[in-house]
Amino acid sequence: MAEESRAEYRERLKRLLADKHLRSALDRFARQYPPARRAAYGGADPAAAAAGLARAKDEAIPRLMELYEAFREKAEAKGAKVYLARDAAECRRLVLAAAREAGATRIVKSKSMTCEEIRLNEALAAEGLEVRETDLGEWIVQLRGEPPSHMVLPAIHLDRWRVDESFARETGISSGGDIQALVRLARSALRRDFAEAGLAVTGANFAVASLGALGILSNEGNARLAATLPAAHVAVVGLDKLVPDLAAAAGILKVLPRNATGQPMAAYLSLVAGAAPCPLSPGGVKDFRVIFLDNGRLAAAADPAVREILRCVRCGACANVCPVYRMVGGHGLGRVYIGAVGIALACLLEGPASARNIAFNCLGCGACREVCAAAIDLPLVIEEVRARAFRSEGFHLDQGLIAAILSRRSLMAAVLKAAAAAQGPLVRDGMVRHLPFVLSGDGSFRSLPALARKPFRTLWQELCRGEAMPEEGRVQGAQDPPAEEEAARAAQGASAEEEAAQGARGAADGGTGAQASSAGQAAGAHETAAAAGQARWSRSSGPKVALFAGCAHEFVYPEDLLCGIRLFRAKGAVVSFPESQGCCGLPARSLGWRAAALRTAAVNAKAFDCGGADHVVSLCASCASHLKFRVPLLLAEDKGLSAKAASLAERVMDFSAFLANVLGYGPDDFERTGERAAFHGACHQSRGLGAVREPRMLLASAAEYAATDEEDVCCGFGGAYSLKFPETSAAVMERKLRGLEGAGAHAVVTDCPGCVMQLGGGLDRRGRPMRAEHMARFLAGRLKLRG
Amino acid sequence: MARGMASSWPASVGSVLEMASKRQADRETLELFRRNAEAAAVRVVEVATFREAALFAVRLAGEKPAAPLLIPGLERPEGAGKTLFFSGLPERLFGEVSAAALQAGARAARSGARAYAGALDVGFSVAALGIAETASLVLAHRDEDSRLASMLPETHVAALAASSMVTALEEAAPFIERSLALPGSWTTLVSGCSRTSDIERVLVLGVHGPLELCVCLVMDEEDIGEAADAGTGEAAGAAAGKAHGTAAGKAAGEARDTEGGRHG
Ligand code: SF4
Ligand code: SF4
Repeated sequence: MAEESRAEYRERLKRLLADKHLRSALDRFARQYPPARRAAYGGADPAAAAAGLARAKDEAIPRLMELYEAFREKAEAKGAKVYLARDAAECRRLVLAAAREAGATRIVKSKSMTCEEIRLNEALAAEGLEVRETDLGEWIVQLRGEPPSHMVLPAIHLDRWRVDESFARETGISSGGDIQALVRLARSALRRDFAEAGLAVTGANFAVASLGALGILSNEGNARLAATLPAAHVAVVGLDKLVPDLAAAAGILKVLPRNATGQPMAAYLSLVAGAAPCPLSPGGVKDFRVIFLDNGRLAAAADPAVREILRCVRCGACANVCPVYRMVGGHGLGRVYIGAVGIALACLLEGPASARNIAFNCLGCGACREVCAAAIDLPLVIEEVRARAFRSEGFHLDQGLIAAILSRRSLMAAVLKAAAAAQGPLVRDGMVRHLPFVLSGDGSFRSLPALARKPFRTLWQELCRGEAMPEEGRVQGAQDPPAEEEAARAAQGASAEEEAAQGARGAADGGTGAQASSAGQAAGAHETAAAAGQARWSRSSGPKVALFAGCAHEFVYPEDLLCGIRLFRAKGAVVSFPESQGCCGLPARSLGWRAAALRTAAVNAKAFDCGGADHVVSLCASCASHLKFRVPLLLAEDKGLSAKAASLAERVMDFSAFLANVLGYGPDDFERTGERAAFHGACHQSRGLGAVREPRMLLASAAEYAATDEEDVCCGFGGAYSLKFPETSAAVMERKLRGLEGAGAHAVVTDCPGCVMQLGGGLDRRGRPMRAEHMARFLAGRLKLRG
Repeated sequence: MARGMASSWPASVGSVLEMASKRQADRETLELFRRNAEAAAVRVVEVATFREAALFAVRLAGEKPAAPLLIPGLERPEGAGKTLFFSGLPERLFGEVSAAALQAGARAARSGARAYAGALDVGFSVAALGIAETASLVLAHRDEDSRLASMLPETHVAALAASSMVTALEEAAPFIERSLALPGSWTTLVSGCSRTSDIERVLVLGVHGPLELCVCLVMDEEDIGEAADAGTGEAAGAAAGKAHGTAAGKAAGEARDTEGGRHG
């Protein structure tokens, strides 16, 4: 099968986006799932249950072959035949042999993703065997010749009318779109198959090594009937389903049904140990075979960068909460397996080339990680998959260009400076009008913000020289900045941080310059300055905070940073800006370019190894989250930098959390206007950095906070995602905007410049009156003046 | 085991009080089971004895409309009319129950369940344990007839000794483990009737398995022994021992286990 090109994939996604039923079905599901899941857990803590399962699986994964041998011994003692298939072809051969030996011409199947993985049905049909899927959803998609679009709900993309059409074609009976009648029709249409089939093929949800027993969950009862009525039964089971004992299996039962369907327990759990008596069989017992499938699993188990994916219990939750899945469904975001785990398994089971399209169709929003039944860090695994896809075929020009620019500060500064000059005549109200901008691609669904006339670095230098705060620094309602600077200085009794910063800049200038192409040199020069800064810092009692600017703030929204600085200083914090810092490295990492990600990680680890800053704060939640969680991983093997990276990570703090928890900002600090403001929880803030309460508290302190549904659902930006998959990005954004507008808010406030860009651009393009604003700007404009 | 315990019940005031408090605790577990079961659309009734449970199944068969023939051509062995299939019922009860069934317009059978794959109205089986937290029944049947009794019918009636109720899966685990150690064993946790939400995520009860599940909690301690006699009490013994925590109960439960082991 020729792999689909990126363009073909995008075309297919566009068709899925245009499918109205799909969109409404998935949207309904996305809304219903989270509360149903919460209710199913009741008082139990899902995270603790997931962590327990993760521990049990992590113990099992390095021992899969040992568990296999133990299972085989136990099960064979009870009359089962147990096999190990190295790959899909061997597995298919074993199933075919079982069918032949059982003399079967008709086969009943109960839902098994492992069988989908080995494309079993095609192979059986090619041998003239009649295969009947008996799970209702599977039967529906089988009748339509489609693959399942969800691991738990295979036909979720179809409405009752399409099901009716398929059933009527098959049985000659139309149910007039009555769902109950459709279900009853399936009951009677398939009962004969159960009774007459010569072989049943099922999967299993787990295999208990100590007992030689399989656990098969089902709600419909088809797996029980299939495994009972025919004289022969073959279970096809991924090696990763092996667990040592019943206690580990109980751990799976605690999360799987709750996560999968919001039930405390599935209707049926069949525990099958060995061959059961069967009057139909010649020997009086069933011909029962278990085929374990390797197909890349053992290799994955030995691969530390991806092995945790083998914890997966196929609950489907990662798709249920995925904003991309919600738009394009499993046919758009999956190959065999669906959602985040589908991306990972496509790479591990079929090779990186198979994953190259879907691997990039992910916003990196982290919603999947939060619900994963096995606590798998799915975005991390997806990043690894991207790196492998990138390695396997080099970069596409688009992503290479973006990554190259973003990972080299000097290059980026030069490109953006040129672009800022070029855009001049086309800018109105801070938005670019009619510009075929280098990065705009097909991104016409939102306006792009204008590049700042002066990047933040220039403003900072002006600030350090004591020059008047530039025009961009003025924000609505803000006090005149120079006077405010004076006040802050007076309050601190010294201009220590400015001197420190000035020192840093001087040293950097005196060295190879702030835009040195050699990061090492620049950082080295900076270290001297930092030491000087540290000595002076000690004179001030306020918290010492080093600012990480981030590209979007540095080049597009520098005035937000000035607002942030103002908020920091108003509470006596001492601010520094290590000038050798660069891009955080998230774009390079998420494009799969490991070398560039490593380079930027090193630059920043060195840049912040300075001056004893207590906290490193970025106004961009994505940058902060990358510095905190990825930089230490990237540099873990680097002896010279791992400690620096760890120290940086430890000091990185969410912006709102810093304001609230360190500086003590609260309701008394702001002029609370009557303006209604909605909140958008940036992915890397609410899930990455875990700051949920603080931004909402701050917003409620400064305005009338209009709570909305799904505040923490992604806006669809995803950095380069919005350039690669603009149609999907736009669809995710549209949904977000509809939710926000329902709240009747004047502004939507968020802690991430990417979200401001996406939501602000979308609102502008649609001519909507609501504006998107960064928290720093919103709060600074309402800061109470103190005497 | 349980029977011995029940007969010693009124021996002293002390043990009566102790028993009362145990029964109180059990009450809570039973209520938890009931709540969770009802949330999963399972009907729970309390009956005094297994006999009553079986007669309850007969009553349901009498009230329900006859099951349609799902496999045209595969007629019921008794010809047209409603059918009940009993598993795990003591010999002497089956006669009485069959007669009652006839009166209710149904025929009772207790072997050859496969023959009813085309249509079966009510299936009756005895559960080994109940798990209150998830409203699950533990069915531990090696023979095909007992298993099919809970798969083929439109209505499944499961009898469960009230004393065989535990709170959580963990408490049932030792029993499940012993049960699975037997050759060709097949242990099933049933938590509700067959269901699907595969079409537009609308919940419909009754796909390939029963359309309805009814649990008869058998309250009379004395009667539990009956189930054991009927060959399904292995678990009931283990659970009774566990639930009541008496040395005698435990010993009895274990004795049965080793027996089971010997059979293997
Ligand atoms: S990170 Fe977000 S977009 Fe990516 S797979 Fe997970 S849920 Fe979907
Ligand atoms: S990766 Fe996690 S959430 Fe996704 S199917 Fe597997 S266990 Fe469930």
